[in-house]
Amino acid sequence: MTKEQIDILLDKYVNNTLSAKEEIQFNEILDNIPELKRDLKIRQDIAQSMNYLGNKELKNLLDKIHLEEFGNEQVDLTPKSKNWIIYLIGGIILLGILGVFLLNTNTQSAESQSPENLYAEYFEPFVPSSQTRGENAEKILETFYEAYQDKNYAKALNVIKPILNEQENQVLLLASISAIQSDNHNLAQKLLDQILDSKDYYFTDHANWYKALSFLKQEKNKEAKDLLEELSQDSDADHHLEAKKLMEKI
Amino acid sequence: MMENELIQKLKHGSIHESENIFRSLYKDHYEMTKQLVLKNNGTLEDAKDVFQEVIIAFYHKAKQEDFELSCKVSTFLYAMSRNQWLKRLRDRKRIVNMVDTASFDIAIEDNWQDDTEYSEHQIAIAELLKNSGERCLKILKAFYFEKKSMKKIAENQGYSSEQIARNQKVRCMKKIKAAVMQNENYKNYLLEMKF
Repeated sequence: MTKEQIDILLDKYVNNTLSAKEEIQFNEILDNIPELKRDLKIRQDIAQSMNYLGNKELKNLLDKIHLEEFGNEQVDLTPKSKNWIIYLIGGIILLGILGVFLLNTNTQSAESQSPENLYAEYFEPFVPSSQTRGENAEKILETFYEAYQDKNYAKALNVIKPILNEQENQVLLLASISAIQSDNHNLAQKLLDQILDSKDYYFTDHANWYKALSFLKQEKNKEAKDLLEELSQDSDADHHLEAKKLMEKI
Repeated sequence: MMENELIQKLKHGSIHESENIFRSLYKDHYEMTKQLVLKNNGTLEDAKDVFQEVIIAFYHKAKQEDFELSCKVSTFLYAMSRNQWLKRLRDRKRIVNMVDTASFDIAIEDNWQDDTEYSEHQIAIAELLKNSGERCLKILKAFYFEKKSMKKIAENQGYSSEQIARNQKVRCMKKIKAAVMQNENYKNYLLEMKF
């Protein structure tokens, strides 16, 4: 059996696609060449690591779909029968607010779209993965996440600042968003550059997107456009469509 | 889309090629899992986590060569959600007296989620993979995660033949293995495992 045939057989074992006949061959080879067991173990670990990365990517995609389809579901909205009148009153108030909002939106659409308006239109805070909010999260991180989710960005930034150096990319991203919202653009850019330098491809597109929004908020349209161009040219990129649409409006 | 067609598309597609399928699974079936979890002491966050774990497991199931769906997708996803929520309740040491919110009549094996648990070594290798260059990451992901054939990989990733794609994969594996073996912890781990 050639080296290549053995390689194919080992891969089939790892991917669980051996036929009955191949399984016999595989066992014979492992018996005859025991050092292959070490190669097989490394190969299995690499395949499982790839699985880990792929599942993380899939989870991010599902988070995105969840957010787009269901928004931030937070409460069970099933009304209890005796509270129906409260829901009715609430509904009427909401309709009123919606009416005022629509009226304002129509008035605004007639105006030219300033970078400030575009920023407000396109800014959506990044939704962190729930996996990092486990029971073992340190107190300071819990407070940070709570403040971030309450959109109290100034508080989030103050809480996280002293321990920023020790944080992983997700926290750096949320901290940079908090900095943008607090108009601390220097810090935001520094943190986003740190993420980009780490070449962690899960966060690269997000970092570029928020960096572009930071430029936009500072009315640095050219710098914003350069980054948006990159995202809009890569159809696999996160924020690809938003970047395309925003490019057209700047 | 017919359900068999859905399985075929998941079987042969990458994550991003399957985005529309995930979206339609979400639209059609999330509510069912949500009701099940909420009626059984769970929260919306639990429902979201359970449903996503089920979709990830379903994606991997569909990739198995011999996988055939012997019931409706909704039944299958409900049974998987039920198993997964039961498992979580047991892990939390909660008394389990499940209230069903839909009828289902199939048994799904209990160990479907085992391969989503990773050792610290595998997570460390994942870091090396991320830095192995886009070309290697792409080909290894397509082969080991998306379970695509070398022929399909060659077509999708612009290699002029299956053999050239295979050679590229071999080169990438060699590179990763060399990087992995630089790691003292991993070397010790292999020694401990008697490899």
